[in-house]
Amino acid sequence: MRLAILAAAFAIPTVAMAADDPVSDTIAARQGYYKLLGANMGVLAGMAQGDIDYDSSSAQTAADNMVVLTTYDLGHLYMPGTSADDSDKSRALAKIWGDFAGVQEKGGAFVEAAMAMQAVAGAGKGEMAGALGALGGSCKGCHDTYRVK
Amino acid sequence: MSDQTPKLPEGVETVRLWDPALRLFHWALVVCVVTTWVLGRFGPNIMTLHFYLGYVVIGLLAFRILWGLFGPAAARFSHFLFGPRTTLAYVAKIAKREPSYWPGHNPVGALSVFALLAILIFQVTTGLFSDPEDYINVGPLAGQVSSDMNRLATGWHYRGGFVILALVAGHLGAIVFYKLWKREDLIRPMITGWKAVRKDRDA
Repeated sequence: MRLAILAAAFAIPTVAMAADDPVSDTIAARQGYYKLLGANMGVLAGMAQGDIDYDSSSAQTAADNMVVLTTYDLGHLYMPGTSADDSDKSRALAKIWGDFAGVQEKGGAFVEAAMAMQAVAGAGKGEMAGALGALGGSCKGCHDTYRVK
Repeated sequence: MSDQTPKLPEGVETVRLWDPALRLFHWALVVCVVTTWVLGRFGPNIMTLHFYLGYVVIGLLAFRILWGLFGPAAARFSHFLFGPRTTLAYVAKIAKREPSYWPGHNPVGALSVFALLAILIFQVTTGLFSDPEDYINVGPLAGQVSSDMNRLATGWHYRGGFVILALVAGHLGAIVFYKLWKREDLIRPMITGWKAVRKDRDA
């Protein structure tokens, strides 16, 4: 009996720690960031493909949101020890942490494409769709190199 | 063409083996697969051309399946579907330094044909369901399945590229082997249609 209580006393903090696991939390937050980008990207891509009727103010909002997100400091989302090697919840390749220069270059392409999109998103469906390729391409650029296939 | 005829041994004749549609199919497939493979691997991030070429490959594969069922004799699947005995007998003699004079896809080449058709069908199928989550290069049928399936399809489509590379390398290696070792040109018949073949298929 005393052993069981002792075991429980040790078990409680372990369980509590698992719930607050910083690795999982960081991965979830990181994925949340990209989900936000994706949600806005989905609006623009949906309009470009005609799945959603083009609406200049919604398109502009989506583009503005993405530009706001480019100003977010991602540093804490890339805490060491949160790669696909560390957790099966992530598909982020460990080489990200060894190649920040390369990552930053891809990130720069995304920022540039997002600003270009912001400049034209509200100007018309054709203009918006014209900027979408480069923006989606900047997503792909990173996925190809830094994500588990 | 005619410069080869005098040297033909007994029991071998030059025939119009590959019909024009099959040859056109073959070279169209070469151009489309090579181009779309290179574009997929090294091309621009906006993969429009990769997609269109993939659709052309679907059409070409559909043609080849129809041709394999209803086409001229040498193009039919039944013409190059061999049992293990025939295949092993062919393998046993493959290193001989003489042309095979095989009237069609030989038993080993046939395996390569079926493997290539299978991997290409696999590749176009996974491509249709791929979603690389970039919102611009999404397979046209990606929305029909779950995002887990999209992810699997995307990964398989990526890996399929290596299998295609290996099979094409084997195909080219075989052509070089036949040309240099067995002194049999397999490229010219695929261009002109004419090939020196054994009159008796079972010989």
